[in-house]
Amino acid sequence: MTRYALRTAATGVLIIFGAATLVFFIMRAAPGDQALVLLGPDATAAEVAAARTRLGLDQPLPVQYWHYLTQLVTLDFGESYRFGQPAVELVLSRLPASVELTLTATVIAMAGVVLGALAGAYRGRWIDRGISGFALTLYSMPPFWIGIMLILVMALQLRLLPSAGVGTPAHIVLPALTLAAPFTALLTRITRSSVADTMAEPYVQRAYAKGLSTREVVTGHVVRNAATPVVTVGALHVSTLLGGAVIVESVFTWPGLGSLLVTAVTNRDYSIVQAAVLLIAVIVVCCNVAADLIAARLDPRVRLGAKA
Amino acid sequence: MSRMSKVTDQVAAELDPEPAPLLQVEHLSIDLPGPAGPVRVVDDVSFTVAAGRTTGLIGESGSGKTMTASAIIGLPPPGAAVTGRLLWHGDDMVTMAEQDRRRLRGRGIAMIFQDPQAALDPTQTIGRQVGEILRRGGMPAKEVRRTVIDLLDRVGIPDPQTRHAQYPHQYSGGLRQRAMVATALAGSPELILADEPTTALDVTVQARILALLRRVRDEEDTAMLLVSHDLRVMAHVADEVVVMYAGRICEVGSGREVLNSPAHPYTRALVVSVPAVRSRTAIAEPLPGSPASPAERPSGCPFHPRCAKAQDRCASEVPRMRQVAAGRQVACHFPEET
Repeated sequence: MTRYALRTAATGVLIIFGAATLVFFIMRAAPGDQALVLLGPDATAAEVAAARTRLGLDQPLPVQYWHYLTQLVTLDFGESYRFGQPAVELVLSRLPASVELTLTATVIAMAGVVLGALAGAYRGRWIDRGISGFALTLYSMPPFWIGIMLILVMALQLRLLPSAGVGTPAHIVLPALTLAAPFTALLTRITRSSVADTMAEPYVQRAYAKGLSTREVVTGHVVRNAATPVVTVGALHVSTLLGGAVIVESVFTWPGLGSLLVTAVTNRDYSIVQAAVLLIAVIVVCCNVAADLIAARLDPRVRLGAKA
Repeated sequence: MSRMSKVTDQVAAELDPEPAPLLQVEHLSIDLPGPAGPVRVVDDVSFTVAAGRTTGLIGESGSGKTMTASAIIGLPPPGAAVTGRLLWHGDDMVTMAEQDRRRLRGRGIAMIFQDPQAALDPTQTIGRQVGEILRRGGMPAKEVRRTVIDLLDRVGIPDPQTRHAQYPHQYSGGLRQRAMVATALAGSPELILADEPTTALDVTVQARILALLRRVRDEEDTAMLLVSHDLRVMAHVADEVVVMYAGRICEVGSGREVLNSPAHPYTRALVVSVPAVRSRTAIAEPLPGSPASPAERPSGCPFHPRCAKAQDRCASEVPRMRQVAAGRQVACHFPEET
């Protein structure tokens, strides 16, 4: 188990390094740079060149990359040229709002596990058809569209909930629902197929043959076996959730990491983009490492290194 | 059969009253939903399993043997309609309340499944699964552990002290099947249903599992209903055999007699299709054609399209079960001399 945990953690570190490298080169490959955005379209060539020297953009790419990596180790991403503050501070100041939003959305999305388990246990019955249809509908709608519809109906027409900003607990309802929608649908679908597959396993039949009731069979044999794929796939899609947060935060002007990231990308604010993307990468990797460890706890074949 | 011998049989029965049979299957029929309406996969099947005896249910795939077993344990596939009577010590299990039925499962009737790899929960230790029924029965944890270790020892699992805490994937195929037998024995059942218990195993392992099943029958005095297509398995273990074809019974009798001198042409064909290992001359005669599907069961005797002895009558008239010798019944218009 310890060896397994160490191996999983090492893979995680490698992935974070990869993400850091990718974001560095993608930002530089995108047309336009900080100097152009900062000075505007009227700037002369000499002014732009001067600004580039000041920002260190005139140096060869490998040198910039090396500089970036050495800073990275000390968690120093430099200052945001726009806000004049260290990027790490800015990003961390936005983190709590994002965590609040994504956690709320995750809790709402847990309804998908319950719905999916019900649908899977009663596969083919009307309850399964209803839940599956609901999940498919939810899954087909783009989150930003759900967001706009929610604003239209709940905020503008019914005037039940605020449509933007923060302040009261009511402010989180619409963005959290929007963010939770695709994740709920996803969890419903994974849980449904996982539970349905497990119910069809011969060991479940055998459990019935031992005289166990449906409740005892489900709690004793189905839940644990069906949980592994749900945990693994669910964690994989934490990135979907964070990606969704970027859009949802912009739609609802939620002061989180996502809206900061969108502004920073438009402004070519490299330090902020790099810090934010790296933070998101760390969160995603941590979630996946945690999921792998949970899966190993659930399934002795993973833990004890089975061949089959 | 003459009237005279029938009378003698009746007198004999009155003089030496046999206890009520453990399990009486009476006119059991099972319909499964199909794309073109219900399909009768088991058709009017009747046989008896006596306490402490091993009854073999023989048939090719699609003969309804596994379906019959699933009806007896009370876990037919979803949508199946079971009719007829399944008398357990005289009580009909078909009409029994589900709760009473469940109480019988595991304790009255236990089941050993075909694929021990798939039939053991991969996330639980062997000991936990073997002891599940005991724990549910309220036995204290320490006693469960002791009983489980004893059970594992009895089915020939080496080093049960260590082995009971291991997971299925740490067991070999043969050991897994032994663990399954231990699971079945845990509830001290009166009847064990064994559905193709050796099919998924290597040949050398098969022989050991068969020896184990025979020992279990002798030592625990448990009746067994052994479902298999493998005649060699039957020859080893079965006291009585029931031969099924396309959802119907074609022959019933003592294991030795049926396999040595089959009366139904189908049984005969099955027996000669088993290759003899020792001699090259006795090449097996494969049965022509493929098994009749219950969905398109031929008219009359379902075996007639493949039967070498078939006459016109076989295609039009369903043969009834009739007694050809003591304890020997055949559903054939032209049975072989026995």
